[in-house]
Amino acid sequence: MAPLEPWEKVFVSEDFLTSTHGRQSCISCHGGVQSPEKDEAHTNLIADPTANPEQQCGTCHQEVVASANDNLHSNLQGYWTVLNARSEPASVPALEEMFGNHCASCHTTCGDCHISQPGSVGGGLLDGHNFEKTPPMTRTCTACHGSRVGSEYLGKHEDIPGDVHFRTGRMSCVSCHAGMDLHATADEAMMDRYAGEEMPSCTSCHETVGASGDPIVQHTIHQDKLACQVCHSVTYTNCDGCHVAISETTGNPFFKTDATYMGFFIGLNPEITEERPYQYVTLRHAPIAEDSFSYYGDNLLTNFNALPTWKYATPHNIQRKTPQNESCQSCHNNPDLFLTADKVAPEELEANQPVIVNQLPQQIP
Amino acid sequence: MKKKTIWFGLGLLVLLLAGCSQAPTAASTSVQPQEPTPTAAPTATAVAVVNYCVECHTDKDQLIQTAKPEVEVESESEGVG
Repeated sequence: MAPLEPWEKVFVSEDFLTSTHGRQSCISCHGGVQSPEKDEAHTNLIADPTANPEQQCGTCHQEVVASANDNLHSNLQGYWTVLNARSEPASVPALEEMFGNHCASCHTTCGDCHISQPGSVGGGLLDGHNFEKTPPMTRTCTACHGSRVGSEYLGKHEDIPGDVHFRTGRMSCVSCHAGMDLHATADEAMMDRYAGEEMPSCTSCHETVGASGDPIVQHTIHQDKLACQVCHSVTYTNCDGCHVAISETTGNPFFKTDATYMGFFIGLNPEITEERPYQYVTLRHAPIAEDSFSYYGDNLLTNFNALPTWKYATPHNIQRKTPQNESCQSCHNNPDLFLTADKVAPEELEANQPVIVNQLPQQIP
Repeated sequence: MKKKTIWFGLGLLVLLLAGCSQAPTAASTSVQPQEPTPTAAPTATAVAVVNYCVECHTDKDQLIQTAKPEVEVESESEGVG
């Protein structure tokens, strides 16, 4: 949607004033003082009181707030999981500075979903300060998760249909990602969202897939070998080499990515677990390079090869019929679909050994 | 017989007169002193408490006038974030 005008961002609707939240005094949440003078009224103003959820939201919503600090949306722990894995402790101060300038703005407060648009799309109240129990998808979820998941799900890439769940079911993000999953992060996933149980899982709805009596024999044959996306997603966005710096002219942080391209890559599951037993998964190139943060210091990612740059991914463009599930032959022994060594940049070969497919699945006679 | 008639007539007359004399007086029309109309309890003059936050933030025109114009800084970022 078009960016909001400055006045629209702070315009409070009359109906908010009679709502449960609107009956609170403005100052009790936002600070400031009662004054007809704007500058004086805004003294010590707290623009987003929900940045302190325990104090503001927790008064009534204790259960939700209790998990806020463990929530990946709030603590962005996923970033630090990979930064720590790829670096050494000595690099952490420089990486923290980088993180503060370039990554921390992705931190999400309660208000960023339920009251206003996130800052990355210019902010502003969603609906005259009314609280939205279910955040509007395109103004909150895909406003942040837009360049990959949002564009794929909504079908914004030319000639690539949107996700079947959106096209035919008009399902929004919360149809699968329930509020309780978004408010809290399961213990196993606190360091990595792909760890532990799949939440959500395709089989939560598609219960008969792979079960006895499933009329689609391919489900039974492949169910523990392939992640669902291997057969049911299509080409998706990949990015290479994001580099960050501070502008010499404006002082603002900025980034540049070396390349963005569409592609579909089946690779090996780098971490086979009981919950994710798949041998093959879809892989997306993360926009990381060994010198991504060189503006903040040399050799900050000394353990760059500790993690693959081709990352286990769950593209959000699910289709019932895809080029690779047309027939056995369309996938088996088809080098175009698999992440083979020749598709990996030479400087990233070592990092990606756990996911590179060296031997294609055999041709079905 | 004639005497009886006279006595009966006299008796009837007495009864009528007596009835008239004891007839209930017309409904009292005397005006009872009315209860003084309670006058409104003296109250402090209502002081309108102005919520300046609400007054301004629900007034589109005022917000348009006072909103700080946003300076659009051209981003130097390139590529997909």
